[in-house]
Amino acid sequence: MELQLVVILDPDRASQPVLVNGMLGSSQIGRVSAAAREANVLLARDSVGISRTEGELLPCHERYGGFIGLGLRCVELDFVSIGGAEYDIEVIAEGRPAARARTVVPEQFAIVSHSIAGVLPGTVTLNAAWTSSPSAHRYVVTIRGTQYKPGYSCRPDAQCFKRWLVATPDTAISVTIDASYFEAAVGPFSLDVYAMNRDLYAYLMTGDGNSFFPVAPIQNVVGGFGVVGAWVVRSVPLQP
Amino acid sequence: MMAMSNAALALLAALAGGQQEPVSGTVSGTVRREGTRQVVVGAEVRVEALRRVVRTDSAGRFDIAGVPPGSFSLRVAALRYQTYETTVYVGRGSAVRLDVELAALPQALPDVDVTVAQVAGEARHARDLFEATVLPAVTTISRREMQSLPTIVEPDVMRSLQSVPGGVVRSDMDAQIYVRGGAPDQNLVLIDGARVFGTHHMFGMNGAFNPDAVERVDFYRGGKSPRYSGALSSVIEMEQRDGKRDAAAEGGVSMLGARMTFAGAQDDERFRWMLAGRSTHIDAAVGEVMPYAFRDAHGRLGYVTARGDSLTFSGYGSTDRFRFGGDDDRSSLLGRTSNAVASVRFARRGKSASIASGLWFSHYGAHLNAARDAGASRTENGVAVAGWRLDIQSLRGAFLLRGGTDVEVGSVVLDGGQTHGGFYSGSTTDRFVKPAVHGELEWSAWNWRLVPGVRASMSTRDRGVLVEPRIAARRTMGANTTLTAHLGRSYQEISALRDARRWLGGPNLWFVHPADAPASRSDDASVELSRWFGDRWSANASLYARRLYDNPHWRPEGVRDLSSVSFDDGNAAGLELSARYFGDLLSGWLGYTLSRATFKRATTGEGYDAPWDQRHSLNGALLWRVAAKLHLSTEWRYSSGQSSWPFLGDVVTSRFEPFLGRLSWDQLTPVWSPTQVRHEPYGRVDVGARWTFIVGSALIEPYLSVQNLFGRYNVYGYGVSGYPPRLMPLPTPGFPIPSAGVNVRF
Repeated sequence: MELQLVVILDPDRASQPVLVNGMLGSSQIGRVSAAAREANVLLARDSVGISRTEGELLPCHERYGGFIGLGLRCVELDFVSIGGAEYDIEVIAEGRPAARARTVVPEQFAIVSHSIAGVLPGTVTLNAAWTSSPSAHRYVVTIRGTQYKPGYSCRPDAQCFKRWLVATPDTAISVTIDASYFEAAVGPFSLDVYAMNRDLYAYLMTGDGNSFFPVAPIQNVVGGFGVVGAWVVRSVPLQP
Repeated sequence: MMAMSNAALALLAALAGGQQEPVSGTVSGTVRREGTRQVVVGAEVRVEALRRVVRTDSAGRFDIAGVPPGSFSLRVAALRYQTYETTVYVGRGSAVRLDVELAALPQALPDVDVTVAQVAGEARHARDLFEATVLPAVTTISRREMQSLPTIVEPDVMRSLQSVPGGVVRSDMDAQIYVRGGAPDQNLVLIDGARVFGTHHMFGMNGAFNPDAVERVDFYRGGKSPRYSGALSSVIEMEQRDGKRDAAAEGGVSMLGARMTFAGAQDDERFRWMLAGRSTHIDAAVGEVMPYAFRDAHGRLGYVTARGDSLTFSGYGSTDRFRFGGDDDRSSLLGRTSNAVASVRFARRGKSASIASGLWFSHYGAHLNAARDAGASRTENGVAVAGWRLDIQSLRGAFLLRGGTDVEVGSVVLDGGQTHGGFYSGSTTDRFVKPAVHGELEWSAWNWRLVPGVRASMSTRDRGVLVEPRIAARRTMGANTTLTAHLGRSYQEISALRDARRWLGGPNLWFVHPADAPASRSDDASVELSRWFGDRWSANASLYARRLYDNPHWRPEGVRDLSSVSFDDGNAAGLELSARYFGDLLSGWLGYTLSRATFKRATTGEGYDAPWDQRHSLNGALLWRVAAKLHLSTEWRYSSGQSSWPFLGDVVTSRFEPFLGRLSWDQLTPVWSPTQVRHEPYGRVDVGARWTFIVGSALIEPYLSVQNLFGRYNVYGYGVSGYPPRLMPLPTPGFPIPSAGVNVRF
């Protein structure tokens, strides 16, 4: 069966972890090798052995969060991606078809101003502006906390915690955020702006696996599933 | 009990001395209901020794000419009357007059006479339909056949259509109709002239119509009259049952539910009525296993004037309700679908001209809550269409003109609330007014009938005037052999969303093709060689080729809205061979179909086989009246396996969690193979038996059916393994599905 890849290239990081997964319930993925190329020039190549070693998943865990799946593998490619450049990522695992994808990394950008009227976690008015990242498809603006309130067990996608984000092609925002978005939130809070390329934005903003009629997200991996995308993240604290 | 009113038996012994050659005589007369002046129409008058059978006309008269001198046994039989038998003596050149009075049966009659009369009526209608329509591949199914075929749970109108030659059956569970490479939503389903949009119960597993309330279904697969529009592939025209003078009450109880039909008429049968209802009870019995309920109701009220004008009011309604997957609304898949259909029709028929007009209304609603949070994922689909039509027909010498006009006014709403997690996530509302004119001219000469015709209608979405030309021709060779050809073009602008990868697509979700998308189009060519062997046998060989343009194909990825629809071109072609027999004891059909249906995806250029592409299919049905009280039936099918994009499994996928600034890995999304695989051949034998006995004034008829008698694998019996994916039989094969119930008639 085909491989599922999740790769988010980040030009602020010295290495790019490649998360490799199989179908739920499928057998352990054996030896995995991954390579990154720019204009057919090999930038990095690495592989992991037949069985998973302790710590193999750590780079993927740090980049992509906590995940599940017994057959997961993680390969770390040591190269720094550059904004505006196009990269090919290819993953080969024994007994599986090769999975590959191409993506363009957004350019570096900076938050140039921000202000917040009101007191979090109440209703606030947020104003922010940032420089342009020409290869970004959308800027996703969020307010990040640190955790949900203790004992809060409801999953955010089940609508008991309202998710807030704004996706815009513009480089400035002025928006009022209702206090209900912070009912279960614990600060301190930060303003995050993600410059996402089209591949990653489409993958993260589409699909739904939490319904009786699940629909897969838009994916760009050829010969497999998942996404190879890129983002640039800028963050400023909103509270001391 | 029976009587001959006047000179019941007349013998004219006109013997001419010295003549060597016999001179034939005639036997004629009138058949009436005993003790009244009411004539019996359609009574069968049979002289067995001469193999002569005639039927009484609308005045109850019959006339048997060319009877040689001698003594013959004559039998008169009619539905709901006791059969009358006598001996007639016919002299040379004599005219014997025989007026017969038939005694009405005092109670539910033994099924034998009913069956004989019904079968003869079915054969006559099939022949009449064939003669009236210059079209290839026209089939008709009667109520008796629908009720007699082996059932899954209970008799089913739509499943009986699947059984006719050329029908495609994708799985044991699927009761949808796939015609000549077309999808199920490309069938125009009409009940008493009104369109029905929700044609199935239970996600497509059962037809939405009560077979007791439907008199017959005429199934046009090889072309259609310009009267019809809005569907590319076929017309399924249902005529509801009319009441008769002898009021009937009949019903049944099956494992699924119960149904009841009442029908009757005034003595002269000018005023007729019918009312039928059906409801499931399985949900009440085992609601946890089967949390699904449906109800449907049929009604018809008709009046026929002395000169034959008719006015008919019809109604049909249905509801489906279901809840799967949880104990409360927040964790369940909830749904409700409904139909509300009504029509009124007037018809006046003259010797050389006729006129018919009607109003109809059809509403279809689907309400689905399809995620763990019910309030967040509601999908609404509403179709409301009202129509008016006027059809005229005029015969002038060798020319028969048929024409008319119609207009449809309607709206289609498809709204997913623009939230994720539902069956649909977009939102569209379309309102339309669609006037149309149509006409065709039939010219008959030298054993030819040539019928050019055209329909022109306004598009529902700013596509201008849609012109649908057609031409049909029939060459009659001898008394019983015909060659019929048809060329035609059809458009369809309202289609149903169905994820092509799923075996059961769920309730229909209708949408109007968006303004930036084309109307679907079909260019059809079909030719059929037909032969009748007497009144009972017919055989057909039909070839067809279709070019299909812009057929909606939905494989939602990313979002479940119309942006995931590609409008694909394709081709379908096939050969259909069939034979059908209308016998008193034995009736049925046998067919072979060679077909191919392929498409090319407009968005990617990928070629694929239609999921209902079955290359070879051999099927048949046999209805056997073993004895007056015992009927057996069987239906069988053996088909090439069709292609599919198999479900490979689920992958864990992530969503963006903005508050925590990371990915949240809590989603399971399905993975379907991007390449098609072809299933193993599909085979099935179904059997059924009905016993009939009378208790008091009731005719009791218990029945037993077994579907898939030999437990063969069907499409649900396979899993997928390996890469590239291969179908592997699951450890558990298919299994026979028994059904039992009892019908009651008063």
